[in-house]
Amino acid sequence: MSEQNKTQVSALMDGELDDLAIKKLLEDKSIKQYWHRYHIISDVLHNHTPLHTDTQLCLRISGLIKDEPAILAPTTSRTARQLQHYLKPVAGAAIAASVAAMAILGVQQYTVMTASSNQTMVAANSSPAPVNTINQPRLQMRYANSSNLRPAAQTVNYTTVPTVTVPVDNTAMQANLNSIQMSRYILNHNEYQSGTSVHGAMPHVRLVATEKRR
Amino acid sequence: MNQELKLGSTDADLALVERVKRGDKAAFDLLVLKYQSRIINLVSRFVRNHADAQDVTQDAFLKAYRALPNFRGESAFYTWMYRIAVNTAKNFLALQVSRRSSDMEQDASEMEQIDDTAALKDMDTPEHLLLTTEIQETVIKAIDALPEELRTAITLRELEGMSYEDIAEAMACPIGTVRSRIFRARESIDKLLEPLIK
Repeated sequence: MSEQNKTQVSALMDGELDDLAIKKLLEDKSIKQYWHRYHIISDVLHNHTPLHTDTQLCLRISGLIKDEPAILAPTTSRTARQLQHYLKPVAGAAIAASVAAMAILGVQQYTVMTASSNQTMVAANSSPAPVNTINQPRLQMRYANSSNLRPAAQTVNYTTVPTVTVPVDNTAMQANLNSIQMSRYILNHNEYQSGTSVHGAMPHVRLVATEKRR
Repeated sequence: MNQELKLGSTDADLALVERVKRGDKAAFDLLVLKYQSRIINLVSRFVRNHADAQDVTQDAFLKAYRALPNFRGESAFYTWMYRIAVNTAKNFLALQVSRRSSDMEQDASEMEQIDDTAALKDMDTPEHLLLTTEIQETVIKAIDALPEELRTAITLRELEGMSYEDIAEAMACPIGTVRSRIFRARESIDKLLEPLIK
C-alpha cells in the first residue's frame, strides 16, 4: 500500500478527509488492515478493553452483506445536518411558544365566558331593584361650526356628562330591564354554545314534556 | 473523551455512512472494524458465551446495515449502533429464556453439560487477557519511544481530541505537517503492533 494511502487512512480516522478522497481510498482493499490496527491503537489509548483483534467477525459480516442488496438511500449533506442541528431547538421553541399562546388565549376566553355567565346568573337570580337613576357616561359631540361639514373642521369634544337623575315609572322600567336581561342572557348563551359545540352538530335539544291529563 | 474528539470521530463515521448509503459496501466494513471490539464488549455484558456474543454482534451489524437508510445522522453512529446491539442482545436473551422454559422437561444431566460448555467458552480467557495486556504495553512503550513532536501530535489528537487545525495552531506548524506527524506516529506504533495481531 502506498504511503499516501496510509496517510489518508490516518486522516479518515480523524474525520479530516473529503468524500472524493474517501471514495478513491475505499477502492484500495488493503487499507482495511491498517484501518483495523490504527483503531486498535486508538482503543488502547481510550481504554476500550478487552480488545478483539480477530478480523474473522468482520469477514463474516462482510460476506453476509455481499448477499444483501446495495443501499441507495437519499443522503444528507454536512451543511444540511448542521442546519438541522441548529434549527431543531428553534423549532422546539416555536412549538413551545405556540402552545403557550394557545393556552393564554384559551384561559382568557374561558375567563370572559365565566364572567359573562356569572353575570347572567346573577341577573337571573337577583330580584331587580327599582332603578330610578341613570348614571351613565355619555359622549357629547359638539361642532364648532355646524355649517362647515368637512371633517377636518369638526371638533369632537369627548366629555363626560355629570350624573343626571331622571324620575321614571317603576313598572315600565322593570319590564324594560327584564327584556334587556333576557336578551343579554340569550346572547351570552349563544356565544358560549358556539365556543364549545362541534361544528355541524346540534348543541342541545330542548325536550318539552307535558303530563297527560286524565 | 471530550467533545471535539467525538466530533472528529463522528465526522468520519458520517462520511462512511454516506458512502454506504450510496451503495459502497466497503465503507461498512470499515465501520465494522472500527466498532467490533466495543460492540462485542457491550454484547458480552448480556451474553456471557463468546460464540453467542459473536453471533449477536454479527446479527446487530447486519440489522444496522439493513436499517441504515433510516439513519439520519441526528445522533452519532455509535449511539445508534449501541441501541441496535443492546436490543439484539436482549431479544437473544428473551429467546433463550423461552427456549429454556420449553426445554425444562429435558434431562437434567444434559442441561448441566450445556452449562459447562458455555462456561468453558467464556470470553475472558487467560490467553485473551494476556494478548490484550501485551498489546496495551506495546502501544504505551511505542508512544514513549516516539520523537517529541510525533508524541505531542498523536497525544493532542487521540487524548485531547483536538482537530488538525487546533493542533497546527498549538504546535505552530502547517496542517499538512500535523497530518504527517500523526500518521508517522501511528505508523511507528503499528510496526510494533503488527506481529501481535493476526
